[in-house]
Formats: sequence, C-alpha cells, structure tokens
Amino acid sequence: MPKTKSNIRSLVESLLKQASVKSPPVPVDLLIRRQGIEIVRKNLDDDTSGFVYVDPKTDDAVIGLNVSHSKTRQRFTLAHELGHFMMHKSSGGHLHVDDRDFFVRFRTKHSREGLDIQEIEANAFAAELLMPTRFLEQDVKQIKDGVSVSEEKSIRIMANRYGVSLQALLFRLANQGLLESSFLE
Amino acid sequence: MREIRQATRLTQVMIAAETGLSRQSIANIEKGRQRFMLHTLCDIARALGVDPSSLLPATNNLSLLSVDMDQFALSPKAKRFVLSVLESKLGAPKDAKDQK
Repeated sequence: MPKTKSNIRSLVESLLKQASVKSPPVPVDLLIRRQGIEIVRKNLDDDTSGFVYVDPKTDDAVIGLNVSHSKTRQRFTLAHELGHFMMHKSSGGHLHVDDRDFFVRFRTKHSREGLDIQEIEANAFAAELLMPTRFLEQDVKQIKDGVSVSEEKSIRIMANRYGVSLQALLFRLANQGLLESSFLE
Repeated sequence: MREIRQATRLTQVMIAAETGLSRQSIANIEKGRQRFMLHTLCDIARALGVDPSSLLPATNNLSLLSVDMDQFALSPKAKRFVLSVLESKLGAPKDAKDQK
C-alpha cells in the first residue's frame, strides 16, 4: 500500500518525538540504533550508497554504509535505508541495495513498479527525516514570502545546520513551497 | 560448537593448535563472547571435521541471502560489499548482542 506524504510525515514526527529531537541536525545514527539496527561502515570505491538487510528469522537488521561518499550523502543514505526499514520490511526477510542516485536502482525482475514506489517513499522519508517540515517552517517563518534569491548565503548556513547538501535543501524548500520561484530560474 | 568439540573428544588446546588461535579465543568463541571472521569459522569447522554451517545458529543467513541476491542486478563490487558486511555481522554470535 503506497504511503501518502502525511503518512510519512507523521511516521517521522513520531520517531523524532520518541527520541526528543527538537532541532536540526537530526541524529540519524541514533534514530537507527534506537530501532535496534546495526550500522556497518565500509569504504567502497563504488556508486553503491548502502543497503538494508532484515534477517527473515530474527528480524535483526543491518545497514551497510559506503563511507567513501560525502558526509551529507551518507546521512541521506542512512535516512533512506531507515525509510525502507520502517515502511517496506515484509515477513520473510528483506534486502534493499541502493546506488548513488537512488533512481537507477537494483531491482528485482518481478516487481519493478512496486520498487519504484518504494524508492520514492524512502526518498520522501529521508527528506522529511533530515529536513522535518516543522523545523523548516520555523526557520523560514522569519523570512516573509519564502526564502529569496538574496538569501543564498543563509541557505548555505541552513544546509550546514541540517547536515544536508545545498541541493537537497533547495529541492526540499521548493517542494514545500517555501522557496521564491525566482530562485529556481 | 562446544557440544561438537566434546563429542569428538577434542580439547580447546587442540582446536587452538589446528586453527592458530589462542585457547582463550576458542573459549571466548564457544561462549559467544568474541567476534571472529568467517574464515575462522571455517578453520574451526575443519579442525572439528564438520561442515561450517553446522556451527551456525539454526538460520544460515548467507545461504538465504544468496538466493535473494540472485534476483538483484548487483554489480560485482556491490555484491562483495553486501556480502562482506553481512559476513562481519554473521561473525557476531547472536547472544553477544544481548550482552551489550
């Protein structure tokens, strides 16, 4: 069953609430460990960002993370894999491997369409987790009519504060209608 | 592992000699107190004269995994990455986690 934006938002909000996360940067490592998931870091010269594996018998989960990618990419990967764990694990085990852009992914022959939806959902989860709607709204509140072109510097500072790339933040702000349209031109 | 070792009347010292590990390591591995590499598991299995899978908990994650893996169009590097992480995880005995 596909998840709506508000499903994902409330899922993330409950995770943040349980861990008493009230401001950025969101401690994604901590949130993962709170789910009983182990993170194994490897330096890999490859586009593979990471994967999540759920043991079919024990439900134990492990996330493999490629630490050769940038810090912000690693945070996004962790959040993305946590999203798969929270939303897509099914009985009978689960393996989900993701490459750099999460779009040209490794998919099974059988359920191509279903997996596309899962990727979109995991990305939406990651964006919501790292840049929670509530936090963003608070930040942008002071600046009337969204963040303006002249604010590029403040957006950079904001991206650092959230531990995300500038690109990810801009995309997120635009998606949430919090960015002046002129910024995108 | 201890059950198998005792059944074959081998001592920890004998297994240690066969595998090149210390007796203390063998004792720790038997108690699930020590992480070890997959090849160590194979060495111990060889010393005991049993199949490595017989030393694992009821589920053999890796064999299940390889079935799953075949469904994925993984690059060789990606496949090695996944396997190496899962092997390191497999090396951690189940009850070691509970003791944390």
